Amino acid sequence: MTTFIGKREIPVIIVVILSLVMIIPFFIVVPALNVASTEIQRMLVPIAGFALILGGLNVTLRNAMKISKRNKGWPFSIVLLATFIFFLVVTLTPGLEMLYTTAYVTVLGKVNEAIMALIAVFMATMAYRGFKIKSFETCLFTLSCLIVMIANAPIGEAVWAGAPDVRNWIMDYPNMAGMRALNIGIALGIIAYGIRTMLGRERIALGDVEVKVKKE
Amino acid sequence: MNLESLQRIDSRWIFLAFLLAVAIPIVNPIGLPLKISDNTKKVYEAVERIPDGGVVVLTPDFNYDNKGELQPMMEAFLRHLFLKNVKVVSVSYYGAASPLLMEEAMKSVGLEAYGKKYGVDFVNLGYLAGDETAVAAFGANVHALVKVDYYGTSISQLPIMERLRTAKDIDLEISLSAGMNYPELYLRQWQTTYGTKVTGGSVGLIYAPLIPYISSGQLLGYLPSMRGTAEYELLSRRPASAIVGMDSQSLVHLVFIVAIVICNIGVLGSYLKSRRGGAKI
Repeated sequence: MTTFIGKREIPVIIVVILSLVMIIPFFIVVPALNVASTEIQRMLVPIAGFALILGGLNVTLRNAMKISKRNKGWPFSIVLLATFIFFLVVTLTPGLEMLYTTAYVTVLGKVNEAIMALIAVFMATMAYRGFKIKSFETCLFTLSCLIVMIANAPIGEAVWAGAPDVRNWIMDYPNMAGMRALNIGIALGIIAYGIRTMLGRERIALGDVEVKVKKE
Repeated sequence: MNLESLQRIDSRWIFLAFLLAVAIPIVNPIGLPLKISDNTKKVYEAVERIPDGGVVVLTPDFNYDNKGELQPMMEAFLRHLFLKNVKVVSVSYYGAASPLLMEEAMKSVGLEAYGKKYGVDFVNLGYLAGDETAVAAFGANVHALVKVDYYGTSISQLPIMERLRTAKDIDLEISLSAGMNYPELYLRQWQTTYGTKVTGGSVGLIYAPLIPYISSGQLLGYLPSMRGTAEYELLSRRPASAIVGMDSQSLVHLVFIVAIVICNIGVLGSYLKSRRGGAKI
């Protein structure tokens, strides 16, 4: 016998109720809904914290399995797990705050900075190899890049005083038109996605991943 | 000379040119003049217009990888804010590194040098997980969400927090962002709902997508990368590391431009050769 409220309907009803509680106070003042919306938002922050714990457990289990099965790259998993445990211990143990800060700043911080600096250097060779004018479109692309680069550096302004005006025109008109179109498109897409989810038509959002994957 | 070969210059020459372009101006500054843009003036005026005793929320949403671009910006804002009688609340929604970067900035700027006290004029609330949800919850009820500051002190013991209950109490939000979504979060959750004024600065990469928000007046100006910071330092008469970096940036841009021009001379060489030989480039 098929019941009216089935396996799929329950999550949809929860989504619809919670969505309306969150959306309505955004447009009109309903004191009870305002309180409910604030409370839901406050509850979601600890949930996000628990998601971090879940992520940590997932990383630990996956890498532990990789090490036990000696899968490809297993020594890297040892490094990952050792670092993970080290940071977990120094963060949770009172009195080790300085060790955490020192380890974070001197190891992870410096590695991050070094990688970003390397990217900047590689961008120089990318500019050399990538900006080849072979069509009208690449010509427009390269010229606009050159103008913006000239105008952004003080040396460019010193050489060509009109560069900032041309740069501003590129940024304020063609760039802004493109970005506005993109932003509005994304916003409409999000609204459509929200409506589809509330109507129960967005099956992945309801955890119906398997069906989608099989079809693909 | 075979022009075509200009397309095949060894990358190591470009790396060397890059290194020299960065290093030479640091050793021997050129001191090129810097023109202050209207956009930077807007940001400066937004900070200047904060009422006496007003509350500023500064959100450093970046990690160590963007420290080079955004740390000087954060320090420039802090120096300017501490010259005024305003309360500065720092909170991040980005990651665990942000509060550490704020600590470093505070060491560099020096709270005591401006006669300010921690807990009275400034507080570091650390990192709040939850992204947009956390931003919305903070805006709706700060005291319900945050119980302690970054060092574990209860916020009920910090006089500065008496002034900040909801986003309505924020006189200016300064967003320092490595990702485009962060200034948008504050626009969506605080400005649209509570009318909070938003300004700040970002890495160069995400500045262009934010221009529509500046044009519409939603963002009260926005500093683009180190260039914006250098202009801001000049405008607030507090020259620091960003102005020093401007000469290096000029020469690096010059290396990029010369590299692009050389490569395209090579492309032209290929084209001319193909015209003569009938081959396709």
